[in-house]
Amino acid sequence: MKDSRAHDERMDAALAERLLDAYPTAAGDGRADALAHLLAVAAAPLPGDPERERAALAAFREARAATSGGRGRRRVRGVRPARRTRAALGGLVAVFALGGVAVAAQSGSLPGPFHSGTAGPRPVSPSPSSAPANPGGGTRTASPRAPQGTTATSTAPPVTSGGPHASVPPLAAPTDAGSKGLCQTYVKAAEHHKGVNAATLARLERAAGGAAAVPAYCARLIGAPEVTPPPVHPETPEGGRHR
Amino acid sequence: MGKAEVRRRDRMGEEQLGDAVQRARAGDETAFGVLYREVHPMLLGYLHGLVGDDAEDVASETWHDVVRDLRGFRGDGQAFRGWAATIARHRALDHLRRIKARPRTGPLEERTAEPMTLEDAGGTALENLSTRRALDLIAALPQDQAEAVLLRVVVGLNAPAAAKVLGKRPGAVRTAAHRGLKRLAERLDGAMEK
Repeated sequence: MKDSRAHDERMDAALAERLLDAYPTAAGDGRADALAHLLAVAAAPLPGDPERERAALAAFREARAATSGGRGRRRVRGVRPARRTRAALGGLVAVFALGGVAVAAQSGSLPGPFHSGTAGPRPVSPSPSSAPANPGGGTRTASPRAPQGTTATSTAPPVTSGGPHASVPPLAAPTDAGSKGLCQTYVKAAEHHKGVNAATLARLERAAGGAAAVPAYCARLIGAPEVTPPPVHPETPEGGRHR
Repeated sequence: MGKAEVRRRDRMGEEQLGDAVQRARAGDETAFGVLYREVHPMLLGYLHGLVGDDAEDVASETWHDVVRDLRGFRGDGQAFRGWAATIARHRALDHLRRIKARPRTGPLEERTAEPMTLEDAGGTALENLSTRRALDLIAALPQDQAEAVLLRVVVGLNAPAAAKVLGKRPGAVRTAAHRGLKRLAERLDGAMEK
């Protein structure tokens, strides 16, 4: 019947959205469970290369050192639209605008000079548009750049949490939908004394709130007895597939 | 944005990420480290789907651009994920053009030509699937479907944000992602019947 097919398709779309958002799906749907498992495994973090992380941090420090020298000019460019619209009032407005920026920078409401130490003004910036500018097309595609400017007017810091070195709260727990399949893997691995993959374990540890809590977490989730943790084998690179 | 578009629960909270972005923009190296460790694994997964084993190289190029342009970025955590994914995508497409210029088949063409089954992905049972193999299975989908699924599932973007990265309408990206899931489910069915 045509109506019921349309209904099925709507259900499919709703299910697909749940899977894409990693929300729990109805229990007992084998196909959805298998898909949820596949997606959860795909979404497990790939281990990064520590060398490259160090390189990225070094690049960050370098960029910070480079921009702190030339930032005065960048700020001037940032207020240019305001100056242009009031050009009729003469250069006076521009002077005020620049003065305002200077004051704002001193009071810490603008991204100020970089401080690597803990003291110093913590620069805060408003986010008038939550979306970054879209890049144009093109071949050697320039990175999308967010628009400059509009910074000088706001003084209310939107950031509410603690200081620059406030500790990071624990990660939110993954959904049970994704973890259920992984728990089955985990329990099966333990029962057969096989290794469990590091990415799987990392995800379960986040879900359970710690390595020690995983057996109990899985036992509760899939209704199986608690197991002795299986050994871990690290994610091994599988070369050649994309060549 | 409605509740349905609130993103995956296993990610760092968007508010926390947004805070780290703000602090990194202001030059806080610790915050940048937090940002990197949160976003890099996702970019790596997405890029693995686009360029295979060259993902780390392209991710490094991506971070180079992110570091360079971070101060000009405005937006919250979700916007940052989208921005980083957009840069990653451009670097990946540049990379594919580079290797295409050389006499070698690009990974995407190679993989879309030959549908990959679970057996192809290493002959493992579903429960032993590794992350890389799972990504390979998704990457074997037609490119628009693969990218839609990767951006939603691996990068953690909602449909509008994924659409922005791809320069398409949210509806088109949603449809592509749904088709991709359907096809993946069929392949899993096929693999399990054997």
